Amino acid sequence: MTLATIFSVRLFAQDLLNGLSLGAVFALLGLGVVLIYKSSGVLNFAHGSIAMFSTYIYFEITRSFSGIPLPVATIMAVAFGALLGAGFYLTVFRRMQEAGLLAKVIASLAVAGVLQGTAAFIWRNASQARVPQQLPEGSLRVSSIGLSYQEIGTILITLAVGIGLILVLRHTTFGIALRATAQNRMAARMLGVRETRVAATSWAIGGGLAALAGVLVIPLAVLTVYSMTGYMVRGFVAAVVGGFVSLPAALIGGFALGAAQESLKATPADQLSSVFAGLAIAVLLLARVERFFALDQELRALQELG
Amino acid sequence: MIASGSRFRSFRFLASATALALMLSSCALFKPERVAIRSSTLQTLSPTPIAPGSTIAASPGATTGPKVVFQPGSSGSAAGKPNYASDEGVTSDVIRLGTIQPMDGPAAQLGRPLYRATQAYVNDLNARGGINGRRVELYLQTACFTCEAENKLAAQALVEQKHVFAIVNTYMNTYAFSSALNYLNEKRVPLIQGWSGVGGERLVWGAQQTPWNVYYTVRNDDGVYVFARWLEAALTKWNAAPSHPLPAGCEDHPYWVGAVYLDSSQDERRTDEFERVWNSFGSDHQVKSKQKVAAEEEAVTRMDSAISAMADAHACGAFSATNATMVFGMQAAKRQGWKVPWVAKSAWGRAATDNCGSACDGGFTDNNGWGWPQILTPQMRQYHAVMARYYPDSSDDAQTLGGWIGMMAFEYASGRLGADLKRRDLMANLTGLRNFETGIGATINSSSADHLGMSQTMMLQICHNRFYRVSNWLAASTHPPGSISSPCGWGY
Repeated sequence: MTLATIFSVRLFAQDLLNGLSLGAVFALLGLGVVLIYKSSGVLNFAHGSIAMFSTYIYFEITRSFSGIPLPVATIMAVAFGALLGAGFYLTVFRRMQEAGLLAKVIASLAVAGVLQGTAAFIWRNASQARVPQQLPEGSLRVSSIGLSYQEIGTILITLAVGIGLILVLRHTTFGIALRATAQNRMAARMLGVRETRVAATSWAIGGGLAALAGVLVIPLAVLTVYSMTGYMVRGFVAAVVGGFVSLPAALIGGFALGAAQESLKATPADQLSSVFAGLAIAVLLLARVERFFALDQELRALQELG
Repeated sequence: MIASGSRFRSFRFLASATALALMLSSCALFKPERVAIRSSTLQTLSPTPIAPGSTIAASPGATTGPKVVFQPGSSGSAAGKPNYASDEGVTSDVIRLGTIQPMDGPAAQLGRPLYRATQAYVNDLNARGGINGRRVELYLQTACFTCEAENKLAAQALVEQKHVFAIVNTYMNTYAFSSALNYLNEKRVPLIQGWSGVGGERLVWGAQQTPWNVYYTVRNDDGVYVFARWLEAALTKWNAAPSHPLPAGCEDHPYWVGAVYLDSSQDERRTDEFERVWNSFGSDHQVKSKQKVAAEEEAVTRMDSAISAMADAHACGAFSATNATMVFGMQAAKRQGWKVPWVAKSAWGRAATDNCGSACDGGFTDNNGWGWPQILTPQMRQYHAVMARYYPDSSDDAQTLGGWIGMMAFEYASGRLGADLKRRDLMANLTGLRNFETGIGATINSSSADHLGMSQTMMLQICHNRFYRVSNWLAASTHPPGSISSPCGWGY
């Protein structure tokens, strides 16, 4: 048996590219999870449901207003996701600031259930909806390797949004307030940081990111009330990479996870691909990866939340 | 530094919560949609009974001997009303049946039409006077499509609380139904259907493995011959086409193909069987790549890796062991510019026409042996009339026709038993059908060793988001026609 029979460089490269486009979705979701966790201490299990619901909104807009430019519909869906995120914070999670992590997790599961149930009811006759893609069909091919325009767009948009978000958090008042809140809530409050505003803004950005992930990836798949569940698990892995505190790590982690998971399929260890995310979570938890990204104050603050 | 042990515990909690959320979200329970039944407009149909042995166009492959032509209402209901109960779930007035369906979420696309066909048949049956004077009551249990425990609980509820006589038209051939199936076999409760989502195998679905279950569809060992011959014909056409649309190199090896299947033992067996048949066609027929796709939504909807592997193996055609791998495989193939003929098992349904768009144009699949709505036999006309009466907004597909066949078999087999309706006798009738013509699907010849009973199927083609019938009945030994009638032609 030669090496060529068990390993193809072309196949590996193609799977790697596929993985990067998939990883972009994980990264978008992971960024939102980290942002929300940093600002309010909520491990948002409703994140995937916000993505799903916003994607149904995108589907409904494109279905009801035929001829509407798809970028406009996309922006409307992302804005809806942002409203949804901020709305859930202001109506549910703001009241749970002093609650324990378990209570917040249960609340987020309840929110996820409400969203799934509502979507299942509203769109029961469109149980497997086909959603239009924003970029043209077809693919960009170099030699025998290629990637569809939708996937290329997903990667580029994620990089732009992710880097932009990181820069905003580093260089704006909001970013400083968010980091201050994450490190020491009491001190931040005493210094005049409006915790509710910071958290609501973070939830809005997180919801918008979730919606963006949904409307970019679902046109290549199919929309159901459970569509984002699998993606969300990987989004959590991306968040774990950064110990739930580091946005750059979540961004890189998402891409790395997608690339690793997909490129494994081109190796003799292809069976590991489907369980790779689970293995990654276990390894990251055992390695206590958050130590590498979080300041001691952040760790202490997050521990207090839990 | 902070005490890291506490933080580690927190993370372990997060991981556990993630797992819990996954379990909950995969089996979320919602109230089933209420299906409107226009009971106020119930009228008795006037079926035209067809006597056994009468002449109608025979299906190819029917064995010799007298033909049993059955039309709902042509037997049983005229007999005198029994005055005693026969078996569990049967009283002097009523026969209780149960059905288990996914009525919510994405799988409702499968469950709702099957339930509607079953309920419509029962409504019509009762309007005709029931079976030997007994009215049929149908009890519906909703169960998540992928939740094994929930399916078993549903079966237990029907047997132990509703005391049903038999269960009809479920998705028993999915892995999530295995516990329920074992339970029903253990309790000796008949399970009767013409539809279960995926095809079965003669060796698996016999008296030893599932003694209390019949499942009328085309047998795997016959079906794969039909698929293999069809793919061979398509490849020959593509290769002879003036523009030769097959990938580079296929002019030298036109019969190298790839196969893709879901990670389930049934799909894997079907793919292995296809490979065996394909290889038997000649040394130039080779399955160069077999791709297993994890049975998870994310993996199924993103099959780019599997497609890359098949293209990399220089495959010139594709066989899909199940519908989802065709629908999403053809989409991934289009993204990657890999254009080859596709043949799939069991892709007839809205999943293909609603979700695939132009990517699936030209793809071939079969009808599981369950006929075609436009072939208007007397039985098919009756099916259309009843469905239009109770569910005027429903469409015809594999689920509704399959469910109808299951109910026809039940009415026929129980009607023959007269007043004394026993489960064991019912199963003996259901597994002893000879040349049984439903007019809805292929001829059924069941036996104690073969609970599937069909050996023919028809090929269909997806084109512009609808299905076209492109063949008559085909059996293992039948060759495809030289030309087909569909706007997409042979698909290139």
